[in-house]
Amino acid sequence: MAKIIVIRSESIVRFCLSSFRNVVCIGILFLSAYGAENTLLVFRNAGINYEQVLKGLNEELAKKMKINDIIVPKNFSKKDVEKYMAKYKPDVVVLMDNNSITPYKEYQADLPDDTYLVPTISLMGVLINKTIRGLKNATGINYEIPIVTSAVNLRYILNIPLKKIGVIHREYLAEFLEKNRVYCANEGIEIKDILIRTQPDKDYRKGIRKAFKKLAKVEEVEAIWVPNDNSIINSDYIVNLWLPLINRYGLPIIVGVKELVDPKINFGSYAVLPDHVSMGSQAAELIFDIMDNDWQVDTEVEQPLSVYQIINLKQIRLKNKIPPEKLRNIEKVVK
Amino acid sequence: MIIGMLLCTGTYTMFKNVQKNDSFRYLVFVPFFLLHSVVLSQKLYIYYPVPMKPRAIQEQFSASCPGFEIKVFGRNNDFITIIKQDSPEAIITKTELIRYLPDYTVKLNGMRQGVTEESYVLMSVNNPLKISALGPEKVIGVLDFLGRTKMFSFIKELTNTEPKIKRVAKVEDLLPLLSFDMAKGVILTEYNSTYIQEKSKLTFFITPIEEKKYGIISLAIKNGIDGSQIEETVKKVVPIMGIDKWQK
Repeated sequence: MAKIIVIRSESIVRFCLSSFRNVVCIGILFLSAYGAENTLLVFRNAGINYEQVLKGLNEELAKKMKINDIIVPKNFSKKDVEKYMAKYKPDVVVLMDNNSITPYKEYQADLPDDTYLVPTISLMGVLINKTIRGLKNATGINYEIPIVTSAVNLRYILNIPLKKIGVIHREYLAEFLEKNRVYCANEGIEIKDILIRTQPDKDYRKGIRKAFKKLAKVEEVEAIWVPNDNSIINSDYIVNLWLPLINRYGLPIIVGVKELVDPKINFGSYAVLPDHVSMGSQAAELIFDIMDNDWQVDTEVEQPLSVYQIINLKQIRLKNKIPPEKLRNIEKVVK
Repeated sequence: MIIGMLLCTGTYTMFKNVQKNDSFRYLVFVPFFLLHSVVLSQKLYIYYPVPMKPRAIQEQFSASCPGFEIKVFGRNNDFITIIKQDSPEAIITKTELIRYLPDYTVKLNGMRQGVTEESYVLMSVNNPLKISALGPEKVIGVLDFLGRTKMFSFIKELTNTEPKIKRVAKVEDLLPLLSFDMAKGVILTEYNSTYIQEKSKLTFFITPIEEKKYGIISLAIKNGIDGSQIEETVKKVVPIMGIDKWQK
């Protein structure tokens, strides 16, 4: 009887020890897993485009890291950045739009010299490569679609040689154009650009009219690429200036805003817009690179890789014939 | 589906005899027919990364496969998420992807120029790139049809090397990787490489990866489901996406 009791006691002790060991092991595993989980902090504006980018990030990263999504107000400040950085202690930060980038730059500039700098990826701002200058341990993806992307696609769709493409622009685009000149040259396309100097009265009508005529008649460009610049593209200019010129010269117009290829306006022939979900995936790839590089950025600002194309058949068919099989390769066709 | 149609016809006949008021008859018949379509139509989901857009693929399949609920996806992530959620009766996708979907069995294989398998190529600009030269220090662009981890394994199996890969979701996105010098080369199917060459005037070098071949595209049916009707219908949807015939 006593022997049996002893055996039972030993079994109980062994069982308890084993259970304790298991609990400790599970605890260690849990803690290490918890500790290993990385955190991404996203500062963004509200809106469908931002949500799409977030979707792309989520699809790639949700299983790998915790994502904290902060929708920033218009008066978002460096104090707010500081508050969220202290709260979430992120391993990496995604900044969408200048509304987030500018306060973050101010926040980083105020940090003591020896502070560890969390890597950042900036997206959806104007000329990101210029905007993030001064920001350390930082990279991003430009929001402007390179001219070469639009030009090569249009050449393929219309089956035209497209050796010269015209651009009417203001000074701020000079750096963007220089880079694009090289990309286009590699594709056998020459950018013929005309600079519209900033006018004290901000009236660019005369300059645009003169530039358009020169591009069409003297330079003999085969298409015109229009930047997203409110100073040279607005409702007044579209109706009273651009449309008469387009109707007269019949050149395909490449735009970067979907509203401008609406057949009701009939301004743009072909719109090339960023594919926002893919932009999120591209940003996720940058995050994987940074993670593999011990949270240090070693890549330059990237060009956007993926685009969403819309063709306005009503406008483009005025002068061009498009084979039906080419239309199958375009996301949206409007008539 | 046949039962549903019989029910519809029966209901229509019944009301035709009982009611003389036309509007009442259609008021009952139309919603009943619509309900039948929603409840009984079989789902066929498609994901196949080629230059042809989902919109155009959807149009062609919908026209050729009446009675099926067809959805076409342009991204692997969306396709996988919806398959888990909706559990469609049939899927059409790259054969390699079906390997990872154990609930589905391949029933038909798409043929291109008489074969059901295709090879991949390594495409570079200005200079040729050898497969043996690939390694972790070289970035190679790939079209992501399997997800990050499985794409790494696929490229490793295909090339016997482990390059650093940069994934894109659409075929045409491989060209900017080369144009903007973001990758030393891209790995893609021979079929998709002709599209890039047709589109761009860059000086391309093509290195064939001939040792391994993979299924082009397959129709797979959910296990335990009679897919004979879907098979018969899909067989007629040619040519599409570079496929000229479907075979068992």
